[in-house]
Amino acid sequence: MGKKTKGKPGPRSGHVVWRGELTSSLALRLRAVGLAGPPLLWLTLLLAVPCLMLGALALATRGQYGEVVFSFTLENLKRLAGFGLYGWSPNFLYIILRSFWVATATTVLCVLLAYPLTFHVATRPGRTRVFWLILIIVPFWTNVVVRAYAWLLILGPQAPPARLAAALGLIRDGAALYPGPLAVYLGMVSTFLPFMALPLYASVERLNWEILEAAKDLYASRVQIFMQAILPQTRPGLSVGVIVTFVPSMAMFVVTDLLGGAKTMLIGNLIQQQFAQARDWPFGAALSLALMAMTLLCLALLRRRRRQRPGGHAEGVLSRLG
Amino acid sequence: MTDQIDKGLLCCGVSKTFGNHEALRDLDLSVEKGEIFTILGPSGCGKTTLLRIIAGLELPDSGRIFLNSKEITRLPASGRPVNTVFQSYALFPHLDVFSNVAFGLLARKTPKSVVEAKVGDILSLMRMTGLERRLPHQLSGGQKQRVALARALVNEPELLLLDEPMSALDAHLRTQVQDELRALQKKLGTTFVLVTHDHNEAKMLSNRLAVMDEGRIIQFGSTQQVFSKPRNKFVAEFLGATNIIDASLLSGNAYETPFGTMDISDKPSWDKGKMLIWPDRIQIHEEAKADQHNWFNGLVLDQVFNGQGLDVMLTKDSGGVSLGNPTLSVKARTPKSIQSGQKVGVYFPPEHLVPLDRNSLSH
Repeated sequence: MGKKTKGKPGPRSGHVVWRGELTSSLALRLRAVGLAGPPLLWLTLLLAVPCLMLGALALATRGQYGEVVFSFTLENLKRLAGFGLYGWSPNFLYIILRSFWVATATTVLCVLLAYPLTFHVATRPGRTRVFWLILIIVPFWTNVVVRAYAWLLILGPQAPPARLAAALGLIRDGAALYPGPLAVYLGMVSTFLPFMALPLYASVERLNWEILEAAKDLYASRVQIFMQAILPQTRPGLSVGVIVTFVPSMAMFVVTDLLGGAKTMLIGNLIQQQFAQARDWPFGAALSLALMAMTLLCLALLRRRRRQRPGGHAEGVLSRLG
Repeated sequence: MTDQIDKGLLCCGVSKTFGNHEALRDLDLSVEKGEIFTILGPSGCGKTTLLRIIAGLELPDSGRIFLNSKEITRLPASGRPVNTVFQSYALFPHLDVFSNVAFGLLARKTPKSVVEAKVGDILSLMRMTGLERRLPHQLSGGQKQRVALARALVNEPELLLLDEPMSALDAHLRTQVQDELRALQKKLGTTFVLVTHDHNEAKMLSNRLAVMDEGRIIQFGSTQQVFSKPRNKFVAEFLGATNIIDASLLSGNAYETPFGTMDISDKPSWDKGKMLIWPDRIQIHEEAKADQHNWFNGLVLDQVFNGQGLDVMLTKDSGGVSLGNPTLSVKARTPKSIQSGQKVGVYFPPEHLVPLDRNSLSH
């Protein structure tokens, strides 16, 4: 065919085939570089490079006056694991575990509060719903430090909650309700509730209520309705909410700094201390890496659990519930 | 009323108000045991509310509901022998076909061997064997509906409620599903109550039906009865009637209409009102019998072959311009071809002229 049409005025001759800018591979490649380049550069400069720097810093040591002396030592990691000058004491490990515990408890409390809250909001009529959403979003826009100070005022010795607690004999007269676990959890939950509620709300708003009614129609108990009709439908929002609550609450230090005493020191406070008061950047870097590793591990476990979930045949789940 | 308590389903004086919207107004309804009954009405007429009250998903403000002689008014959804096929089917998206169907049995702690046997039986009845491990999103619309049906029927309800069962199906699937539903109902003998706004669905599925509007039942009866004699203009139009004509009394049984003088067998109660004639009841002839009641000269405006016969649009031939004259649609079964612009004789059989009551909600 090639020979025959060569030189002959075929249907194509006489006009140029139009080449769109994306029809040549070079154009495509240029477009890809143009689109993906800036974000890649951003990630490299602001995520990859700082992480490498942190890694390098963690292997350095603190100089006599708080300066960084570059070396190649695992001293910081040893110290983190509790091997100090005076034998083994797992104080830092305790702090890491406590951070993990506080973050988990905060996340669980937020989930427990966010479900009724989002269901309440999603079932309000139009304008009332907007009002409720604003109530959730306004604290979300307010600085964490400001909110922590607000709690200091609310829980202060002159404010009604502390007076009530004193009158009931729960605390000493004239004492405040902070520092302590109560104040920390109040601060943590109020800080992170919008992080949990907003993604969850997005799922609850799109809920197919007929599925809940189908469960009711099919004799499901309240627990079964939640597990089989609500949870599967809200899982996307819940997953996002858990991640955006758990990750920052692992690293939280403002709330615990202001509302928690020395007994509730978390890894966030410890890191902040190392970089500020202690001027021990290398140990701070080691702690930061530990926090990052811990968080990534938790997320990886969460993902693995999700993937392992049996592909739909939940007969077991049902009968276990029943 | 007490003599009717042995009906399949009996609703007495059911009312329900949402805010200041009266969804149901003192509604009475009785459904025979083992029939397919349709509640037909436009959206917002209260039919879905009624269905939800029967299912136990909503409580009536007043009124009582009996199922097979037992009062179920205050029973929770899980306590009544009623199951529902929801409009969106509402299959559990994370559960496979088997688990969806087994849900009700497992929630009531049925022994595993019984569950497996029952689910297997109902799935083979629904011709779904082999699809047990599929998830809802891997099923076609028709299959989803069969799973929803199986999931409800596996609980052996005394009453099955279906909310717009055909609305989510493609047109070509509907006829098939309609036949299947009828066959299934015959086989099981369960009472089916379905709710729809589609008169074709009602016509093809049900033995008897009720037409609802504004929270009340406007007309109630066998499907044939309701379709051949709609009681008023609302029902007639809702059932798809187009040939509604004005009429006023001349003398005796003769009425003046835009198409000439018409005799009517079923004498209306009014002197001036509207009557209906169904498209398949109008006769088209070569020529009109001159000066006889119920005959007039027609002019064919348009005609379309509908598969069985012709759908003809015609108007009264008044010699000159016929624009603005009222038009009629006729289903002609004649094999003879009719051309647009042709002049024909049209006959309205007096027994097929249906007088319509004025639109009022009173029974």
